[in-house]
Amino acid sequence: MTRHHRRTVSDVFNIEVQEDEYASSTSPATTHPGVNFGGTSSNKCSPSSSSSDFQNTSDSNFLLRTDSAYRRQYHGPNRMMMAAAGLEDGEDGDLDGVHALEEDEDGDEFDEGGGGGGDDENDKEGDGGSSQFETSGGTDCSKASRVAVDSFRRWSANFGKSIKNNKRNMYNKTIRFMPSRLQKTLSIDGDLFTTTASDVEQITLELEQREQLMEDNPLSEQLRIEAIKSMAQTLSIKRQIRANLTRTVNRRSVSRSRSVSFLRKCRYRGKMYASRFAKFAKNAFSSFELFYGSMKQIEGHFGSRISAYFKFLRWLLVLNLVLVIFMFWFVTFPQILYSGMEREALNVTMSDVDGLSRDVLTDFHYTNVFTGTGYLNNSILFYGFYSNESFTLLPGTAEYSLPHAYFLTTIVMYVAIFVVVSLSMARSYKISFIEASGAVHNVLTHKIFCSWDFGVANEKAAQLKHANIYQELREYLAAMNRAERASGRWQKLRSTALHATAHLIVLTLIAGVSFGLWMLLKQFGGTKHFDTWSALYVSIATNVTMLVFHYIFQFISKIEDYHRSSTALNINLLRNFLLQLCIVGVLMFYWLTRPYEGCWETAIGQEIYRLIVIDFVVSVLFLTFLQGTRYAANRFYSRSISLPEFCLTSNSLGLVYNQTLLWFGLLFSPMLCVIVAVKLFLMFYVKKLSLIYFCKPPSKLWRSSQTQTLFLVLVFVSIFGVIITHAYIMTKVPVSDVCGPFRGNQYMYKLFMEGILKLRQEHIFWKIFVYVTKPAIIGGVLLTMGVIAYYLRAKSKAQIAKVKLLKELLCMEAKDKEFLLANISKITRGKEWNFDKDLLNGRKNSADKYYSDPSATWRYADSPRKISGNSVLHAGDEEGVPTSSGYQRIDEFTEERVRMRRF
Amino acid sequence: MGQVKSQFSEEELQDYEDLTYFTKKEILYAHKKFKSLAPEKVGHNKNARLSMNKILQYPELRVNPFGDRICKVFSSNNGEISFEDFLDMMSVFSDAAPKSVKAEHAFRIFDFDGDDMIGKNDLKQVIQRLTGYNNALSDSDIDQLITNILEEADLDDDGALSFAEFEHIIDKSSDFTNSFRIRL
Repeated sequence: MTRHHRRTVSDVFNIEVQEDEYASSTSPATTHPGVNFGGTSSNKCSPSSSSSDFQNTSDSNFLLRTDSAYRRQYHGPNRMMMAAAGLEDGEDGDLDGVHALEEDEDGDEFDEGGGGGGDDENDKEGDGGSSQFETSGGTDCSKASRVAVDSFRRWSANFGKSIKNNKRNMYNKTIRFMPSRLQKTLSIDGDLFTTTASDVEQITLELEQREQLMEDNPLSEQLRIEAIKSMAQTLSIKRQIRANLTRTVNRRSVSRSRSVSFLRKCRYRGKMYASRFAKFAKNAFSSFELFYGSMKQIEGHFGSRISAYFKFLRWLLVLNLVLVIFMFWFVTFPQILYSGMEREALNVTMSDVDGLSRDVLTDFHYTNVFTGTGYLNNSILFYGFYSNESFTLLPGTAEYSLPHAYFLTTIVMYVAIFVVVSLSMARSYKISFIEASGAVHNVLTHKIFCSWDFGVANEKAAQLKHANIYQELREYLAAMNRAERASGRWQKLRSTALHATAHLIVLTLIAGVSFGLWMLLKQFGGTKHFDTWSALYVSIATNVTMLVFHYIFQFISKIEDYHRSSTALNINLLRNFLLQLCIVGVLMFYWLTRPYEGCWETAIGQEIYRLIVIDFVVSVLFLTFLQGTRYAANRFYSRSISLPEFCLTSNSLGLVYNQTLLWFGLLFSPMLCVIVAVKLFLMFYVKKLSLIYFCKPPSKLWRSSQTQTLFLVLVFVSIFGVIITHAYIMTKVPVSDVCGPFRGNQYMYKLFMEGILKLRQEHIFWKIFVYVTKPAIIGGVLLTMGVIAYYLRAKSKAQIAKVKLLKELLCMEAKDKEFLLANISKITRGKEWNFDKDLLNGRKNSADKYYSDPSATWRYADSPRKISGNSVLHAGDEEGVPTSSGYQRIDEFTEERVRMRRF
Repeated sequence: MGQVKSQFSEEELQDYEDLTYFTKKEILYAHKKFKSLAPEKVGHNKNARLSMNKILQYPELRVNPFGDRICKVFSSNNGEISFEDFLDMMSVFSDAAPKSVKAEHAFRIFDFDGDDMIGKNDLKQVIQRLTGYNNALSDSDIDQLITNILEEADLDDDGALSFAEFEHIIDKSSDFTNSFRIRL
């Protein structure tokens, strides 16, 4: 039952040990690369190894040389052993073998001479072979190799000592916290739990070993609960374990009753309260998760991939709701109160100007909802309405300066959004790219183990899922069986040309659209029909263009015929995003450069308002209507018209577009966030209904987490662009002087600057401000960020390399294990133990990604032997080297092998 | 809510909260769900054991090709599920459960013969269940798939996936937590 766990433990242990060895073997060899090993092992090979080291000093060889030096230090011990073994065999090829190693780093050359051949293989095999070769060298060699062994042992002992503590840490970390260590898996077939009691005992014992968990304080109790929680056991067992542990803790605490220092107590208490608060918050929030039922329904019908879109929508909605709260509370609400006061004052003083005020407030007309003009022109929706005065709302309290509130709220909101977006992007990126990426991608295993969506709860959806998976597997098999896609030069050239042409066409199209839009704006933008339908021309044109081009791009990417569908998807996504970016960019540029009369901020706000409203009409209502018609056609006329698919790309991009517009418009129209929040809210339900009633699930399986990250990146790009544009607007574009909170200042930022200038020069805030805005500081911050980014990237690269290395080690370990097992079974059957060529061939045929040559042990078995393994045992004893468990283990391994050979 | 609450004492709820990844409210909600599977039985005795067929009426489990396996894995008595087992199950499938816990249970779900290794037969069953019985792959196709899977994931080359190897795969997959999840 516990077989696999045990083995796992020992496997991991071995890796740890070897890794440490590797760490130790890299550092010393850099200081004395060829001298130490070559010199002690034999006179013959030392010149050859050191010559290549010190003679090739020309620049052209530098790279190669560092590379080979690295390999040498890395394989130092092995090579030394091999040289020794070669000497012992008395072949002439040993020197050549060493040469081969020096010059033929790729190891293609396969020297048949015992030492030389081994050398080459060793070069590839890496560090894992060292333990085996240590033995082989020791057993086979006479004096020369003895010297080598001794020197190696002495050397390794030194470094073994230095990393001893480190190793113990590693050991503890790995072994103790491995899940299998905590959990003795229970049998899950019929005849259960005869062993329950002993299991509980065992687990309790295991946990009791961990001091950290067994202290009598709230923090460790928390930890204890967490540890128990994460066990793969049934509740009743967990409960028993907890009871046991509590009992032990109580007993121990009585016997020890160690006093806890005050500082520690405080820390514990702080952590306790923090975790308690987190629990409380979770409790409070979990009760009103937004759209809980709808999400469940969508997931049940369409799986988690589609629901990712809705999650994205929900995330944006929550973000906007927060925005609404702040903007309303700090900007709009005071303004409403103020205008109420103002009106009262007006009524009291001159009640006969009624006619005038009605003139200002034009009557509401339904077209205003779409155009944002007329009645809405002078409402809380837009910038122009806001006052530039400071006022006291309650007599006796301080003045409330609306311009400052407006400015600061907007700025703070932008910064907060930026931080939130970048954080979630970073987290998502970390989860889906960095943590998930490794040396090898397990494509098929993911298809098998991660493809069923456990959230699916609908019969039809489940059938579709089955069909999807079946299709995926079929495609995979077909791709496997199809001979490598004809990758001739022409083929390659053709596909490259095709892609290049497609990119070119797309870029031309985008440029054309941007130019066309510009012309359109020049033509119609200047006309003064702002309160009629014609004001909508621009917004309708942009929206319809985007819709049409979405289909055009889809068509193009179909022609392009990308090898991987995810590439096609991403490229398509990027193209669409580029188009959006260009369109929005052109619009912004036009708005900022054209001449205005009156309030240009309000005018821009209105433009954006129109875009958002029209986007709702076109991409939500109109598209839903289209889907509905298609559904009806499918239902009532002919089955040949397929049901519409829910297109994740265009829908998610629509959200990004929407959000970009909002962020851009927020400065000019604070209450735009309310509009967008309402829009998103409606959108959720419209999309949900159209999805459930009209659509069929997408036929392609869709890697949700990576796409999710991509969307977040797009959102990030857009908020970044918006912030830069706003920085430009605030500092370079003069505000209109007839309306808005900033009238009277030349630029928006001037308001804030004046506020600061009012402060005394020596005021601490002023000093900080001056200090922080120094270019050197900003540059330094940027530089630090760059360095951190670089560091993280390098770290992840190094981790990938390490994973690769460990995998290789694991592979070799497995081979040797298999070999030994095979031989054990052979010997127990009473056969002669010798090298089985068939087995080797069989192994060669089996798909082996890493090596085509047999493992180190095989060669060991194959190589002729002259003396018994006593020497090694002897050497080990007399050295008394084993300083740490790792080396001890190797020695045990050696002994075991030697014992086996004596059979 | 009130009459549901009366079935549990405060200590019991605290206990469940400590031992699962749920909050008290969610526990009560889970019980409501559990009760809806067999109202009369659970109404009398809140810890009544439901047979596997009853549990498989739960919508997510009904359509799940591994529904019976899930029941077996989480059952403390031969496929029958008590409320505690149900709670345990939903807790593992919840968003809050960490990947390692999910991986452990997934491993046991996929390990049909219970030998602590996902062998070739287990893989075959998994593939057959995944594709559904309507559109079955041919035996040779399945064999090829199994060979490829082992080639990808069987690091120590022993012809089966051990838990460590399985966990390794899961660790690399960012989609696993998304898919191995049932909303309460």
